[in-house]
Amino acid sequence: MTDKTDLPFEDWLSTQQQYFNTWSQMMQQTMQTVNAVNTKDNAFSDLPWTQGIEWYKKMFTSAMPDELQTVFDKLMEQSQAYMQFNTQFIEAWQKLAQVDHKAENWQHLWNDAFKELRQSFTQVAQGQHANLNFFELPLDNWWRAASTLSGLPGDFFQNMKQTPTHHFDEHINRLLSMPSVGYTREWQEQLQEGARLWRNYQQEQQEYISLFGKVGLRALDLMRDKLLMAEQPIETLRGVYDLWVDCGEVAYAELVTTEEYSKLNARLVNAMMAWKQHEQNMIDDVLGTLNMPTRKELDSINLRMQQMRRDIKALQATENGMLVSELQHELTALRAELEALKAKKTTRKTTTRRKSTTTKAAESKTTTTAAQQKKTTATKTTASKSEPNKTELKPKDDNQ
Amino acid sequence: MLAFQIRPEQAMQEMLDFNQKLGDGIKNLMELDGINVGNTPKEIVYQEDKLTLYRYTPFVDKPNSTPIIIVYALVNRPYMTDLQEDRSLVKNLLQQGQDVYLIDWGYPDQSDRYLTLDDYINGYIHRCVKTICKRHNIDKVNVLGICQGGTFSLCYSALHPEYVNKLITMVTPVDFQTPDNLLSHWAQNLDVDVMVDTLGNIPGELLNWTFLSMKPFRLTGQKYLDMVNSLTDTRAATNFLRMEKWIFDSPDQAGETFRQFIKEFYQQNGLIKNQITLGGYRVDLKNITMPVLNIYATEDHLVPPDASTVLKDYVGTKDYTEVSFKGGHIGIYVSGRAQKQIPTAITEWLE
Repeated sequence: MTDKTDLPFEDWLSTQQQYFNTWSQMMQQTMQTVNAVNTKDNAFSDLPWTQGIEWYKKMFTSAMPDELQTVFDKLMEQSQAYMQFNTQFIEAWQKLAQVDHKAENWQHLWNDAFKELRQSFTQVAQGQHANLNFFELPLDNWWRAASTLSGLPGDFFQNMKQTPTHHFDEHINRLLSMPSVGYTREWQEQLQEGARLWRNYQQEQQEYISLFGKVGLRALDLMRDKLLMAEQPIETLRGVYDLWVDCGEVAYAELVTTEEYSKLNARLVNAMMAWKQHEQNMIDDVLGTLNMPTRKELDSINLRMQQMRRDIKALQATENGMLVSELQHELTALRAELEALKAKKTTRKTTTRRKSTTTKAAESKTTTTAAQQKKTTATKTTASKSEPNKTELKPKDDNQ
Repeated sequence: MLAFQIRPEQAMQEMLDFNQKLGDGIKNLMELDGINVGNTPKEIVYQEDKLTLYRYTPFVDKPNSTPIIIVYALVNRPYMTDLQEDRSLVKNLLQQGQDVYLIDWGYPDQSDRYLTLDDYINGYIHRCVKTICKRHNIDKVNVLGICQGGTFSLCYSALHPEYVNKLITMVTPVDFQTPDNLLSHWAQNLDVDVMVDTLGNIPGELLNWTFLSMKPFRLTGQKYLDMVNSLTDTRAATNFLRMEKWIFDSPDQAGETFRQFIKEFYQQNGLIKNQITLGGYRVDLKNITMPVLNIYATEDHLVPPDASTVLKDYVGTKDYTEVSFKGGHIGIYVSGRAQKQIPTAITEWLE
């Protein structure tokens, strides 16, 4: 583990203390910043409380042991998201706090205040802006999973949602409508089919993303309702966050238990698999042309090997197979017994050799036995090599 | 009443506190020793392909003369049953006088792509059971199947009842299409053929995505903020990391087995419809005539209670016992209550 003296914790924490002490003075100014930066991407990294997390990331990422790297990254990511959430909340809260709860129409005023938050989610749903990236967690999970299944990073196409897709669609449509002619006609057709499958996958993914925008909106409505009906006020930021998570899970559960989601989720996975399968077939074609082993050939080998493994096991399980197995065990036991007897005999003969006049005869006999033993060992080695990959260890205690 | 009562300076103090805890936590994290799992002493008694059969060293001089073989799921690793010294189903069973064996399926690779359910159940499990019988010179063993391993154990017991003395199933799906089964709901429209034909083995990451997607905000967001509080306590931090290691330690799934399991169990609900055939023999749950103990978790979001408890309507035995545990799918192995309740319930029932 890393030597703690290498880490500037004390300095860091004291600096942080001073730093946060100035927050009170900065509050007013910061909220203006929040309002200003909400219109641009990645703006939250400019805010004072998210900068602290950035510092941690920069300082410790390289020093973190490999086995903890993933957890550390997750911790940093979510801490940052939490700070962003708090910022968003403080901004919204300031507006909500201004609502006079004695006024007759205070619930309407609350609704107005929530409208702005809804606007942020609408932007998420439209793929324009993702400040409230908390509700992108399910999508983030998908992109991570997708990246393990593809040669491309999972979020490779994510940025495309911010580009005018109709231009891109035009290009794809043009490619797909091109007649395939000439010597490479089949290859062209395959490329066109690949493009069609890829476009299909992208369309499903866009639909999936849009659907998750609804989760954010629904969670917001649930949160508003809970707050309006709350019997106890929430006194901590963490309390607000936890309520937010609860509402998020409820809204998410409402969505993912629908038939619509089940079908869309399956379409997304199926579309990705179809595209990937086509990609693999094309790669196989290229490999075949280069006279290299293809995936299909490896699959065939694996299938045959598995069948052979089954056949071997089946043979071993037959009466003859079991008899052979039992005889093998018996033979092994007899050999061991014989070895022990020989060893005992050899020891005895060595002791008596000095006294006996028939030593030479005994030695000759022993040599013959050793030759036989060598031969037997060779046979045993050959036999064990022909056995399948199977080891059975004897219990240490016969009584167990 | 104002729903929020958070003053700005209070909010800032909270964020400062969070930041400080995070700093202390990171420091603590970097000073932790390695994350160890599965520490109860054991020996290898049988190996075949990627499979290893372990026998845990008995804690008592004369353990139960009929050993228990634990059949865990193919998804995730079986060390969940022996996660750490004070959270170990295995250790508690040993302490209560049981003789415990466990099948570790290992990490299948592409050479295992064509392993089928028949290979797993009539092949691997059967040979492990026979190995134990031979070692102890007995005819039958007690089988403890967990989650998917429980479903495998049901199939095994139905096909080879002569080898099973008593059957224990834990958080085991039997009816795969109860209305509250979210995994099943998602699986219904999947084209599992194109998936397996494309990927061969199914990557563990894909299964992780599925499980995390069941409660994404808690499992991929809130959990890590809770961790900030745990990190300042070395023991709690180690426990958290151990669990985290287990969650993401997901072996790939042998392609053909995955295809069969999703299609025949999830999509066709074949187990309760008597439609599963393995090695040419129909799996009929009515053949389960030995005593059965079915343990389920009331808050299980992966295997809803109804998916498990329906077992009593399908087995052939009249000696059927149910035990409910107030907790979730993971809590049933690792919670403090589980350490006392589950092994005791098993041991008392076995006696």
